Parts: sequence; structure tokens; C-alpha cells
Amino acid sequence: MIVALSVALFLLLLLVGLDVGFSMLVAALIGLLLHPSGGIDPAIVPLTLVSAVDSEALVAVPLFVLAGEIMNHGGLTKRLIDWSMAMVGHFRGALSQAAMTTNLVMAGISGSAVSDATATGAILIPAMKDDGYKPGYAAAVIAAGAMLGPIIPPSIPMLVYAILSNLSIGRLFLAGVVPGLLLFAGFVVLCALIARRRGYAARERAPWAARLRETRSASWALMVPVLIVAGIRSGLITETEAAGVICVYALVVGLAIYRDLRWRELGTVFFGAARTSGVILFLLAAAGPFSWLMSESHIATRIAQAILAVSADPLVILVVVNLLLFLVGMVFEPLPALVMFVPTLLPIQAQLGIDPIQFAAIVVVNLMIGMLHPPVGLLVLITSAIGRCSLWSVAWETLPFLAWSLVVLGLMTVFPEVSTALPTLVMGRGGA
Amino acid sequence: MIPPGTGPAGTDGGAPPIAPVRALHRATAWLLVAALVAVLGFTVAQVLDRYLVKSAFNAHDQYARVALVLLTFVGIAAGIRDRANVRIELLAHFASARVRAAASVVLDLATLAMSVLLLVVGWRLLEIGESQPIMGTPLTYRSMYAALLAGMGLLAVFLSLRFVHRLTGGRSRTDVRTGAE
Repeated sequence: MIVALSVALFLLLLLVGLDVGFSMLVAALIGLLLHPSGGIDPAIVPLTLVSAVDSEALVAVPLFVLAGEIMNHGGLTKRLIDWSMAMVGHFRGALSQAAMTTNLVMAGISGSAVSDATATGAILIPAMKDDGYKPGYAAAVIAAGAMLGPIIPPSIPMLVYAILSNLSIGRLFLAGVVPGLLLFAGFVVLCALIARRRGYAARERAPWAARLRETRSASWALMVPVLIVAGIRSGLITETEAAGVICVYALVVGLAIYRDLRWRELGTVFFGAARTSGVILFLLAAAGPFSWLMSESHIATRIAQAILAVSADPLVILVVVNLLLFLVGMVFEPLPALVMFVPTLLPIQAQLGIDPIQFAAIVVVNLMIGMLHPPVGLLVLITSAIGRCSLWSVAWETLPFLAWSLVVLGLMTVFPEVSTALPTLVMGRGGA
Repeated sequence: MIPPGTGPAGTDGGAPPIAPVRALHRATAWLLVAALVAVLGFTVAQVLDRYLVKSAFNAHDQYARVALVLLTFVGIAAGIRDRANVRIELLAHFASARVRAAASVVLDLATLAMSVLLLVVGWRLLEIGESQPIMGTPLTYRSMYAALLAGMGLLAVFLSLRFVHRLTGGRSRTDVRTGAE
């Protein structure tokens, strides 16, 4: 009852426009004060706020955000867009295809959907609008493409899930590769079909010399995902250290090789990344007290029992979990949702013997899909703001991408190999 | 929704804030940059130490964690000050300018009240944290709780300055936005 009241209050505060983190804090505090045990010491709020972000693995979060910021200011993102145009610009809907391809490569570097959407959207949404694309569609393409960011490694939500569940970060990162590529494949087909129907133009095919030139120019940026995977896979560096090394690499490329980044800009770049990181990390911190309230109210056990009572068939339970997470994704941001609901869902996965990597990939992809639909579809909100178009037009144009995302989620649910084959192939069988 | 990372402070075309407020903003910015540099520095130093320097120092990650906590709470204060935080502005799509302005005041009041409450109830944790050492460093958890209090203190100051700005019709120039909201 108390948790239901807190969730209702949270929703109300969210819809009137209070900061998402503070909405969670206020709702959790009210829940604590009204707790049936006679009220709980409110000092638990600052205590859990700090403990929710006091984690060595979370150090990677600001570093991946910083890497994205350096890439945007250092000319790496611009070269990736030019490279994508040279490679896929001759397909129907040239700019939408280039947007998807750029986001695919960016996904392998930054790990944050917000960074990717902001970086590519600022350049490509105006370009698509100038090319005659519907504004809502231009924003929807960027929103869908940016969703790949937290699915293809490195991924901040995968990192958070790994911390919560004690799974291998490397395995979880690899679990996102095939679903991410499936999403990408479907998205580019959708872009081509929509472009054909609406008459969005293709560019002239770039000659091989131009493609080679763009590849050479973008090679420093294209090498980043390879470096990350090679560094982690070789055991030379951890996932967190990889994030730091990529920042230094991007700094060197931006300052000394591309020379698009000036020394005097570094303060602005670091400040922008620090503030964005603070905003993202505070979401995780604010989920701490709410998660504590849920645990104290034994709501997790009741949810788990209710789900397990539906069926003993793991597939049916996965469908139920997917439905629950889809509803959760409508209301909560992915990171707070992970903190609040993963502890609830882990016993279900363990009891039914569902592969932990498959389960993790399903949870993360499902919550990422939540970023594509209202009312709290963060990517829809961001791209509609960048594209200066109505929220509803973006939400409407996102529907085909949303539908394909649900198909991929269905495939991941029915066929565990979609998410588990690559981690097994690369890292062998054995402990999660 | 304002995407995080966009819309830097004081660039909305109005007059810049008065000198003391600018100094506070600059100090906050440097604190944030220093925290992020510390996170990056300790993380990269850990790799260099392992393969090149091979020193006996092994608390890189602990210092990086302290900087991370500082980054979180000072970062959200700067984010809310610059209106770069994550919020859902559904009301803005339907409500009139007058309703939006009134709602903005109420929401700022709620945030201010919460930050002051966290300052008050969090103060006790400084004493508790004193007895919790952070392994490998001379620091204790007092530094972690102090980071929370620093962030909430800054947020309370930023929001109070915003109220002064509103009450004086923008003449006090104590907020990053100087026009009517």
C-alpha cells in the first residue's frame, strides 16, 4: 500500500515536471515517513543516496560520457558522419541510413544513448529536415539509432546490471552485440522502405577513392570499438580502465591528429561531461532510497511470487516479465528501473533456471525500448527538443522502429542463443 | 525536456549574473572539472602504475570513487541550476504561460525543501562516517557524506538565488536566466 502510494506520488510529481531524481526522493521519503512500522529514520535517505553511487564499476559512467563529449568536440563524430555518408549515402533515404550507421559506430564508443542522440541529432536532424524529411521522422530516426548505444558495448545500463547481479561485465557487453545488430538491420530496412514510400532521395554513389579517403580520415574514430574490445578481451585492462584509456585516446586524436579540439576548449568539454554525468548518476543515486523502501516493504518478494504463480514454464514467465518491464519502461527511466526492479527479478531467473546472460540482455533491451515511447521516452523527448518538433509527431514516427524492437525482444525471449551465443563463443562456457 | 549537456549557464541572451554569483558558478565549474579529472586521472594512473611505474600505491580506485560521489552531487546541483536535468515537461505542452510559471515556482520550492532536508538529516552522517575508513587511504566516509552535503548546499544556494531573482523581477541578476520565465 505504502509503495503503491509512493509510486503514485512519483508519477504525479514526474508529470508536473519535477526533476526525475527528486521525484523519486520525495516519493521515497513520504513512503518512509508513512511506513507501518511507525516511520523510519529519514537519515536512511542520504545514506542510501551515497551508497547507490559508491561503486568502483560506476566510475566508467562519467568516463564514457566524457569520451562521447571529446569525440563531439574533437571532430571524431563529424568524420564518422562523413564516412557513413560515403558508405551508405547511395541507398534510399541517404541521410537516415547515414544516421543509423553513425549511431551504430557511436554505440561502440560512448555507451550512453543520451550522448549519442545529442551528438548525432544536432547535426543530422537539421540536415534531414533541409532534405525534405518530415521533422518528426528525422527526430524518430535519431531516437531509434541512439537506442543502439546502450545495447551495443560498451553500455552503461549493462554495467549497472552487472553490478547489481554480480555478472561478468565482459559477458554482458558481448550479449548485446547480436541483438544490437539485429535492431540495426531492421532499422535500416525500415528507413529504406519509408524513404521509398515518401520519396526521400538517395545521394550519388561515392567513388571508391572517396570512400577510401573517408575511411582513412575516420579510421582513428573507427578504431575505438576495436581498441575497447581488444583491451578488455586481452585482460590488459578492465572495463572501467578501458573507458579511461578511450578518453585519453580521443583527447590525443582530437588535439594532436584531427586538431579540431583546442586546449582552451577542454574546460568546456570537461564541464559539459561532468554536469551530464552528475545528472545521470543522480538518477542512480535517487533510486537507492526508493529501492530500499521496496525491499523493506517486501514488495519484491510479493511481485516475484505473483509472477511465479502464473506458470512454471520459463518461456511464459519471460513473457510476463517482458510485459511487466514494458509497463515499467513507460514510467521509469532505465537506470532507476534497473536499480529498483533487478533485485526483484533475479530470484525468478534463478528459480526457473533461465540463463542469467539471456535474462540480463532481455531486461536491458526491454528497458531501452521504453526510451522510445511516451510518456517517459527519454530519447523521444530529447530528439523532439533538438528537432524543435512536437513530441507526438516523433512518438508517432517512432512506431515502426518500436515494432521492430519488440520483434527483436521476442526473438531474444524465444531463442536464448541470440544473446548467449557470442559470449559463449568468445569467453567460453562457465560462470556468468 | 532539456537534454543534459546542452544549454550552458548564462547564455540565454540576458544580462550575465552579478560578479559574486559568477564567481560561485566558476568555482562550481572548476570543482566539477577537478572531480572529473580526478576520476580520469586515477583510472588511467592505475593502468600506468600496473605496467610502467609499478609503485606500491594501490588505492587509485578508492580515490576515484570519492571523486565520483562528489561529481554526482555537485553535478546535479549544476544541472538543475542550468536547467539541464532530466525532467518531463508534459505540462509545458498543455498549460498556459502563467500556469507554467506558477508550476515552476512550486517545483523549485519542492526541490529546495528536499535539498535543505537532505542537508539537515545528512549532517549527522558526517559523525558516523568519521569512524568508517576508506581502505588504503587516509580518508573516511565523512568525505563521501561531505560530498553529498556540498552538492545539496550548492543546490539550495542556487535555488535561493533563483527565488531572489524572481522576487526582484530579474533586477538582482542572481540567476542564469534573466528574462521572465
